[in-house]
Amino acid sequence: MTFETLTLLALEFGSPSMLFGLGAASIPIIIHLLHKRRYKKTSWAAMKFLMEAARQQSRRLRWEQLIVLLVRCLAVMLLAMAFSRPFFENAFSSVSGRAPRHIIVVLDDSFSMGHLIGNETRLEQGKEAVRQLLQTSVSGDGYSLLCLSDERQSNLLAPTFRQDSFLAELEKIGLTEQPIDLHGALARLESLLIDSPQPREKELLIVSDFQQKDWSPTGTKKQLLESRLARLASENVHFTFLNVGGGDIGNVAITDLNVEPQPVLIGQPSSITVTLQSFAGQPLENLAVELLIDDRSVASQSINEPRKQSTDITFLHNWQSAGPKKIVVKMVGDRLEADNQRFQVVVVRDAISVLLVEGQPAGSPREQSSHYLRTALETVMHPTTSAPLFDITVTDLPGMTELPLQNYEVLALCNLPGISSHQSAMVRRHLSSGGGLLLIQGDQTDAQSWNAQLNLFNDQAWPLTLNRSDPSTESVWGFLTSELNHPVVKLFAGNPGTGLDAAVIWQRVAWTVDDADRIETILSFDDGTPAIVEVDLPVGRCLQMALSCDATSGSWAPLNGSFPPIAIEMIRYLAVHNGDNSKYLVGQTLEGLLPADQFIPEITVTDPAGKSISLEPTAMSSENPLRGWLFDENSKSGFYQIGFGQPSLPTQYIAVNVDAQEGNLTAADPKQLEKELFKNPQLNLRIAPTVSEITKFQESPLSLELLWLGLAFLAVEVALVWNFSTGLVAMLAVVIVAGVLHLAPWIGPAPAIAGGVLIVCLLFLMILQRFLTRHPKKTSRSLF
Amino acid sequence: MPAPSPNSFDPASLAQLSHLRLQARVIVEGYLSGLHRSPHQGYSVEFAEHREYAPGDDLRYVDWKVFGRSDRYYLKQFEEETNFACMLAVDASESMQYGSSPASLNKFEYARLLAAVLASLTIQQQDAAGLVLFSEQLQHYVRAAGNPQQQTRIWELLEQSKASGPTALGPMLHEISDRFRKRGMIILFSDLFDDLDAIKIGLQRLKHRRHDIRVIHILDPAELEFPFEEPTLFHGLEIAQEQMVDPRGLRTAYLKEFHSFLVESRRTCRDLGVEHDIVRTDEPFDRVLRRILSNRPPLPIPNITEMQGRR
Repeated sequence: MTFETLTLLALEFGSPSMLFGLGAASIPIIIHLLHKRRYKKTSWAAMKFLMEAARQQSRRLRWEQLIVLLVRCLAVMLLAMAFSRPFFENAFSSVSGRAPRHIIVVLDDSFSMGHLIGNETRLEQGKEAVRQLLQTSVSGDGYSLLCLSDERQSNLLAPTFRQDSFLAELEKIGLTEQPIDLHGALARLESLLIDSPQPREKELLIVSDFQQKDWSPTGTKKQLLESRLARLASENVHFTFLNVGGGDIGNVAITDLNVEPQPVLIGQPSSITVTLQSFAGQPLENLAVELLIDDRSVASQSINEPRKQSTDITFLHNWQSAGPKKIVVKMVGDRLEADNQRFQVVVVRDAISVLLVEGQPAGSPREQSSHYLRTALETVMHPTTSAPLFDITVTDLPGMTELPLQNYEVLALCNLPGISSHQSAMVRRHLSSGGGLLLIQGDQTDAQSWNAQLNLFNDQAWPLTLNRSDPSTESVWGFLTSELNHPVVKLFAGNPGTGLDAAVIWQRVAWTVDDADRIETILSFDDGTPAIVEVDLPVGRCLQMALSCDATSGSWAPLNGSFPPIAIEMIRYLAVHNGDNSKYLVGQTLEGLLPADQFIPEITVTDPAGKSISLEPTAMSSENPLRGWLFDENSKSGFYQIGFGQPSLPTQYIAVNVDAQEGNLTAADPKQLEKELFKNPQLNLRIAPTVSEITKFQESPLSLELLWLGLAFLAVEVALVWNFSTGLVAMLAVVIVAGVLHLAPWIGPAPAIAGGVLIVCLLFLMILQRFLTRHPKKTSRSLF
Repeated sequence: MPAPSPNSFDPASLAQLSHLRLQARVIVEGYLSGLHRSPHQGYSVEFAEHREYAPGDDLRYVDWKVFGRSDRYYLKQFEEETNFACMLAVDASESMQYGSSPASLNKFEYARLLAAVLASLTIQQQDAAGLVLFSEQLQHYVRAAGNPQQQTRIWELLEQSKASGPTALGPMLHEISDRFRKRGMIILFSDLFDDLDAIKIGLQRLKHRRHDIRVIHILDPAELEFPFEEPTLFHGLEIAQEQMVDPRGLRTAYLKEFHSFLVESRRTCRDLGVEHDIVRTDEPFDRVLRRILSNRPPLPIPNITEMQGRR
């Protein structure tokens, strides 16, 4: 604390030496006491009346004297305060003489700040408010600028002492499509404050719409936020919230876009479902949604469902050609643009490539492990071309190593005794690139070998352990048909007598479930043991069977009519490429695997704005030696194009969308924030409610108000001494007028002026009435 | 004797004169000169008619001129040929000693001067005048008489008297009633700072004896206006108490109390058919005399706002 700027409660004083004038408030008290000591003496005859009057008036007189004394002291104090030029403790006050400060502006640049107020976005309004505030800062102030969502937007962390540089940097800040990263911003702020030159005072102006989802977290997020703020408390920072949002502002967002069924095939109609969500009761009416595929408008629908909070609309589309397709849905008629569109990429196929790896190549075809599976798949024809839907390749294990697995959507390992580590690596790569794997295990399976290799398929341990089968425990099993919930078997649910319950299994692979959370049982034997399971993998899909698809395991594959549809559904399920359903949000890291054993001259990512960035191949993780690519600069929604510089490697497309929850503009109550997050008394928080309030504050310095108030109280004192009742009315009028003037920003100038005029008129009438009573018209002769 | 100056009725001017008889003489002569050309000419009661002389009639009233013309004895008859007696009762209690201005007359000085003047005028009219001086007790009682020595006696007594002691106005009125039995006029000079009920009973008794009563309610301007500004310690003249007061805050309440007292006093007198006249000690004597002697109605009681406004 310096002499130039004396901080007292929430006030500072431009001329603190004038505060000594507060001592003058004791003068009326001293005069009062001296006055009581000095008196005249006189004899008096009408003592009876005097004593009676004194008895009646003594209590009232004491109160009157006290009030007059208080008004005198108050008037002196107000004048002393006015001359000391007070101002609210604020980095942006225009009082010269205060010490320079480090002013840190934290700007919310998330896309919710793009909400239009009139013709201006919230971000523009916030920037304008900052510019106005800084017009009156003093020489020597340092400025820093932080953005809440995209830290790359501002390079001005170290304080600059040139306001023009700061304003130029501020001008560059635009809207991003990312949600705010409050914790990241507070962490950066903390390091900035530690580096800030001492003992300069720090003023933190947070300009935001204070969305509830960010600023009123619950549970762990709240604890994290509180711990961050607790660390800032020790840095003696003065927080100021500038709210550019406010109220429950309605908004409609497109929150989801799905294409069904998967995989998407040529000639097969797809349902493109768009989900619209209304926030804060915004009615879903007068809206139009347009569907674009590969930048071509193909359909549109209008929405008029004002009573719903959420609605799905569906477009039916028939695909005419294969390849990746860019789907865009756009909505028109809403004031927040960023969440009015959604992107999705689907890969349309003309056939599903399946590689069947035979574990028992010798013998007649019926004795081969893949025979019945292949036969089942070959029966399925394309609905429009009548060509086989599945492009089937059958090979043995050595043959698999020579084939490019990336060309196959599904890899089926049929009753293999075991695989080498090299083959295991191939399977791993296939899964990591989003491919499907069907593990069929039967009488040929070497449990020990498989257990060793299965653990290499993934970074985590395999959730199942195969056991050595014991021939002495021969038995016969059927399938349990009571729980058929998985998509693969769902068509049998509620359909008894379709054959599934008649299957007879006499040989199976015994296994132990090590991690039940990471498997989902598709079909069980009638003793409850899983027969077909889906293993949960981060990338790719894998189904594992405890029985082979040949005659060695039982009658199910050769004879039972339920086998072909289940086999077809399993392959279709596995054929859904993971990349087809990838849903990246702005700000998330994009990633992909590189084709194995191929020379990749360059990896180029082109963002939605057309800007190309070259990437270097990278290992996916320390445990995973697979080569891939990572891209973490996706700050815009839209389609990202990934090229590999080789004609043989097709270009990939990835759709990136905004976080739809950012479209929920419901604001947190700053007063509530103060109660919940700023409980620590060391965290000094001020709330500047509106931009107009700031402007008013700048134009109406506190000292002038105090001066007027002090003069008004002097007039009140004169009125009180002249006539106490009139003085009381005058005092009341002064208090009301001061209150009305302060309320003007909230209730508007017209009601404030009307109120003021009304009070003055009432006051005038009361004084006039008193005057007329005091000087009545004389109608009789006076004794005097 | 030279004609009195225009301010010869002003209490402040009269206060400059040291003796009561001088003060009274100035007023009397000033007052009479206002009514006649000279106070020594034609001073008499008014002639009304003649009647024939009868044995035993006073020979002083025989009209010798008529006898010369007609050789018959006729007596002159006068209009006010009555045995009028006026008793002047002056309150000499300590409260009457109050005077807000040392340069002017206090209430007692004013009252006794007024009484002296009225006594003089009465006797000069060939009527009888008497005097009662009292406080808690009867101090002096002079029976009503019309001889020239009576005026001198009354003036001397008034000049020698001093105001002291508490008031007991009610009992004193009873005492006067007992002593002054012949029907006449009683003029009471007092500030009435006593129990109004007791005063009322006393007046009732006087009224019962069919006296004409006139109360000259003598008050100091300060008592009517309470013009004090600074904190003041008031010391009671009859009540042995002191009261520290900030007059500015207390003024309205005091005036309210005092106004009630005046109203009550007038109501008491009016109910008994007694003339009640408020006289301020700064009021010129001629105005007061004119009001008393010409039987003009008393002035109305000022209201509180007027009392405040006179400050």
